[in-house]
Amino acid sequence: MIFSIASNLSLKLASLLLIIVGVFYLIEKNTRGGSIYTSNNSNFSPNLEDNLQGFKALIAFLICFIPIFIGFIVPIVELSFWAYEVNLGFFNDRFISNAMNTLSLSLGTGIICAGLALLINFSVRFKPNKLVEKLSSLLSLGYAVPGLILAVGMVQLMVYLDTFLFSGLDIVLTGSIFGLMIAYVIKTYALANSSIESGYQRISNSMDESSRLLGISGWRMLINVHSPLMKTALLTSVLLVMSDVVKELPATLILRPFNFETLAVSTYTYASEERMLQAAAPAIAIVIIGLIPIIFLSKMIRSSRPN
Amino acid sequence: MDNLILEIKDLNHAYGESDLTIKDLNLNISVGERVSILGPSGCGKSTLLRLIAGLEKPNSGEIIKKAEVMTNHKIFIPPEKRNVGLVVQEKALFPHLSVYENICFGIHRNKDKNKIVFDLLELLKIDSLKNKYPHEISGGEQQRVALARSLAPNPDLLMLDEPFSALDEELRKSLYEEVSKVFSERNSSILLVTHDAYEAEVMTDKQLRMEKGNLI
Repeated sequence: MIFSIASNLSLKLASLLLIIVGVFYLIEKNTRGGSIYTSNNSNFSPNLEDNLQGFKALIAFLICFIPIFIGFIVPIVELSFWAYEVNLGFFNDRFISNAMNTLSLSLGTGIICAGLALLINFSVRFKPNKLVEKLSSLLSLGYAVPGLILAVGMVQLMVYLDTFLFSGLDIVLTGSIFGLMIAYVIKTYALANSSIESGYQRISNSMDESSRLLGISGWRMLINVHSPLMKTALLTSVLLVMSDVVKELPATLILRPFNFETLAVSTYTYASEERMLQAAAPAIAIVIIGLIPIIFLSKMIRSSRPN
Repeated sequence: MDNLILEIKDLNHAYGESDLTIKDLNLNISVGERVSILGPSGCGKSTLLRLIAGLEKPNSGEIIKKAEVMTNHKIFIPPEKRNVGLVVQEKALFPHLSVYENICFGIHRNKDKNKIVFDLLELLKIDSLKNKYPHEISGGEQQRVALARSLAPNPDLLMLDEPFSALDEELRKSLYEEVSKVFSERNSSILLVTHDAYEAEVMTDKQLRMEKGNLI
């Protein structure tokens, strides 16, 4: 009875939040007037850089360094000390299994989101369709919804699907990797979409027209022209999604299968039991896994700039 | 009239609610004929080529290629099924493909693919560039590659939209002669639009003038 009331209340709160998000989305959309930007040339124009000298350079360095020092270096040093104090004994089979779970979940979600965003954006570009555009906008709303609210909604959906599809069996979808992945995809699709969208803006319409005039259209255009030109955007979107999924805790806590742990879950479990020393290693691992995409991205951005 | 490659009847086109860019236009081109349309910017020359290529839909009128209706009030054949080539002023080579791969792109299921590409590379004097990428070659070389790429699928009609206007005068003049020699050798049917009378004269047999959406 108490669970039912709490569940209803959480659903109402989740719906209210979704409405608020939707209103903000509509306001933003109307302010932009539904403009879509495409490029007619794919030339890269480099940013003009100004090298600072002396005192100005020092001030600029400090402004950039202080937040990184307080927000990143100090906590990482502290966490490393704690991890060292448990004599690295934490790096056992369980840790490896959690790390693998985290990596495979984040990579899987990244690939699904990037593929979905590519297909939707291609469909909108090739044959503009209001329904597909609305679907993309709706999916993008997911990023603004807290993981906890999303998880509550997803549990309800999975329970409904289990009842509808597997009424004679035990719970199948509720608490499965499937439900968890759907929640991740809804939560992070916007990240993948933004990268793919800007990738498409860099492909001029004359590329599509040339391809069509040479007899290549539809799926073959997606495979032979768009996908190779979107390589960087695709990789960026996978990496962005991965770095977000690695950190995701509330949805994972609620939707994960039994005995399935990610690094975020084990960090949370140890921290909630005040076992800070043990929590240090998975926390550092999250930072490291989250840093890999950032390093890749900054390398890619640097290499795409001339000189 | 059996040797007509292109027939356009009473073609009308407007972008959205604006005035007609093409007004009651009629045009016939025979097989192997090289025709140019001269006219100032904005007179509808490029729009006409886009309509023939199937990149735009006209408001009314009929476009027939080799006795087959491409466009009328009922039928619209998409660009990928028209077998017409279009070379434009802007660089539209695929940046991720080499010169060789760019030229190969439009040749489908042809056993002589390699021979066709190597013949075109030789004909347009770009055989030394076959392994280079578009960003590694000059503007003039890029236009030669674009031309080779459009010729490779052996289109029924090749259309050129001010293809050399972005190049410097000296290079342009040398290309006019070389390219028209290539067209003669291949007996290609050509429709060129330009605002340069010299270009039209050197490259084509018949020159037409266009003003405010119609041929005069």
